[in-house]
Amino acid sequence: MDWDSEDIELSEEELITLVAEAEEELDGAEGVLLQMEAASDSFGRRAGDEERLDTLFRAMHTLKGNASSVGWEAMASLAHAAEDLMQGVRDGTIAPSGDVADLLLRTVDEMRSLTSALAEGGEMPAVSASLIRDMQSISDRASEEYAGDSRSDSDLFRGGGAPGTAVEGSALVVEIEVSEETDIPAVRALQAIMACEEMGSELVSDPSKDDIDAGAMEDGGRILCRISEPWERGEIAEALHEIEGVIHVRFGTSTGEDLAGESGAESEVDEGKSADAGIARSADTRQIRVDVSLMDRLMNQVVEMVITRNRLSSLIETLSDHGMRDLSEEMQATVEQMAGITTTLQEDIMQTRLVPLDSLFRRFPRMMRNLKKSSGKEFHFQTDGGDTEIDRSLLDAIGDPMIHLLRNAVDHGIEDPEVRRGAGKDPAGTIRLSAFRQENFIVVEVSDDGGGLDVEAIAARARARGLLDSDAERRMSEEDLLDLLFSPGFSTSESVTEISGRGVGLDVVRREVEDVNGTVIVENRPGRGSTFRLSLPLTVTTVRSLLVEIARQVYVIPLGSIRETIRLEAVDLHRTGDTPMLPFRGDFIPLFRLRDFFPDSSGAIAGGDEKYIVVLSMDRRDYGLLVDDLLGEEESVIKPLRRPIGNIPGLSSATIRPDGSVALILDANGLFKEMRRTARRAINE
Amino acid sequence: MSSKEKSESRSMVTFLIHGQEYGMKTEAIRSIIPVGDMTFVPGAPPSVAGVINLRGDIIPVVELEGTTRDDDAPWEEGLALVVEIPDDAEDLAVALMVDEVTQVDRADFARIEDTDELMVARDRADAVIGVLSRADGPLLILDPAGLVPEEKEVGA
Repeated sequence: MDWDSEDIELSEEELITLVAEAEEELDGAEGVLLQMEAASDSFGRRAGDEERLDTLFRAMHTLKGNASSVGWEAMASLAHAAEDLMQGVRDGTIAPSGDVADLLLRTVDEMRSLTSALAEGGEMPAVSASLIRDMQSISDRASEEYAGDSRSDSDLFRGGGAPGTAVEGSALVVEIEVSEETDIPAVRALQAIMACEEMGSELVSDPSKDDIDAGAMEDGGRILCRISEPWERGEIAEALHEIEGVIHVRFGTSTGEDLAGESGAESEVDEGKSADAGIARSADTRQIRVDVSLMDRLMNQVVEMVITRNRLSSLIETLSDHGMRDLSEEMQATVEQMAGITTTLQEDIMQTRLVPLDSLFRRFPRMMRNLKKSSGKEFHFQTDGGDTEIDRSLLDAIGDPMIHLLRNAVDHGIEDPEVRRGAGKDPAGTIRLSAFRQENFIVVEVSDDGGGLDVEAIAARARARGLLDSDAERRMSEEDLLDLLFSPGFSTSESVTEISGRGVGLDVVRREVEDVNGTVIVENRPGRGSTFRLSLPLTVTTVRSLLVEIARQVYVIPLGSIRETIRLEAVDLHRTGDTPMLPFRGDFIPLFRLRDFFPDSSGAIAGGDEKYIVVLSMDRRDYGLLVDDLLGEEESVIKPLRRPIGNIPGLSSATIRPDGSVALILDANGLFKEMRRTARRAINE
Repeated sequence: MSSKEKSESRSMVTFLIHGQEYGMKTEAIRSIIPVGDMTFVPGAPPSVAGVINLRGDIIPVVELEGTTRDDDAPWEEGLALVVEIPDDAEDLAVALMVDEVTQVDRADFARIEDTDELMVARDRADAVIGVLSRADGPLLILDPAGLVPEEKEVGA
């Protein structure tokens, strides 16, 4: 079919809603299908399978309804065929085999590409006719074999005992009320009519579909539908309540021809199911879809408010310095009150930005299934901690790095089945994706029980790539050597495979993670696997921090990376080579000045009067930073450093101080890495 | 951009940097601001003198490359043009330090010639995209995009 996205006339809002709903349904459907495929021999008999099949059926049903209501034929025809197939599975006439799952998964893929084409406004890809044909032939075969009454089978299968009664051979009048509050009432009304069409034969509605096309339901309102040979009411009510914006469904019986005449007749409400459905509905309407950009704007405004509040506090201090004590104390109390409100507001808005990692994680089972097929390796994929919440902008940012790490685990982590057998391991490995909160960070880990990393091979490759010479190598710890994996220009894969993809290395993973102020490290268990660990900040817009002064300039250090602050005069320093060492918790840790990290700018950041040591912790060890003064804590608002400054290792971003000046936010991890790189370079030269 | 037959009159701001007069199309210039205290950024490219807060945004203050000052002393106070940089991904702006804004005038952009042809300013910054001959000496034309080189690969 020659069909273009432009053939559908939708407002921007309608388009966004349509695409978002389609994606949601497809995600849900895919999850069920993967389970079906994995357990095809027992699927349908396990606890919860009924609900799963219902979910799947409803997903296809909703997709079909949404698509046909806007004339999106390609999607509607696919969904229609899939729905028929699902109906058969639900009725028990079609076995939920792996083949059926595979067919439906391919359909989901096809639907995804249709959806993204619609979202991007591009040309619609042609729908594979063979896919529809394959689904139809399975459905047809099944209905020939089981010529019985599949509808009552369905009721049995679903447990029966539904409170509604089937009204056979007569007509049913359904009164549907569509809220004017919903974003696209006319489309919802059409969906409702089409849902009714599904549930019986010969439908008459008032207003008619043509009336609605002509604008009859633009502000919501009531629709009357008369359905001949209707399904049972509970099902109708349930289906209708699934449509957004449908707020009331009432039933009356009809024997006559005149629909309008019937509408005034007594309507009986289906007490059982529609009441339940009504509750579910009202829970749904407590949630609204909000454009992400609006949330970003809200967040920015709150952030501006935090800055203004900080500024106000500092002005009041000035007042106090000028001898206006009484006034300033009163003002201080007021500002503190305001500060409390701002903090709550900020936390609430932050809360609205949180999404469970599941919305990212559920993309992966499918990918891993495909990787399993194409790689010939055997493994189980497990996810854990998907309910951990994370700021949605971080979610977007870590998507690609996670894909890369998972692919790496398949490609380089898990050994071939024979190798595993030889090593006395289960031929099928395990790849585990897990998330949890740890203090001020969200940790996301990808671990495998494969062969682990070969440190020798990493060193050899680094030498071959000119990233390392043998002198430097001797001085490096195993951790340092493992860290080479993340160097630009390093890739462990001998050839660029499809799995690891386009030769993009772990350096890109690290950069993307560091771009959102996260860190990534690797843990090696030789012979037993490896773990890549991402630590991500809780929030992206503000950070609790300590202000310090270094060479007459203020710097900001996130509290999350500080272990302790120590007065310089209170300690005895030792010296190893040029580096002073600080005794700290039974160990010696190196002590640096900021200028040690930035040799090219050292002149401009020299000449301070060092009085304190801030002990910073990085991934695996601690080090001390010499500072001139400690200026107290604050909630710093994070602002990006843009081009031509861009990425400077050790400086993550900047913040605006209450007096309007700019202070740089130090990144403890980045500083230390930069230091090591500089040292490595110096050794190599 | 060599000379073309058609004339193309556009508004231009002209300004002095170290005695040389430069011009830039007016539409790229958001404002002219006094620059006082700025924050030095260790590790930043040499052309970046520091960063300032401009109504809540953090803006890099840049010097035109090839116009290094005689002394290395930090630049104290002066004038800067806030220049919008065309960029697909984000709102980019820099504050370009200038000594003095000379005038806002219309100029025929079709008369801009390649710098090579006039053999001037060869050692000047990438940002110089052409030269306009005038009675009172050549005017070097700056391209806003040239003030912000594309991001280099980290660690490359």
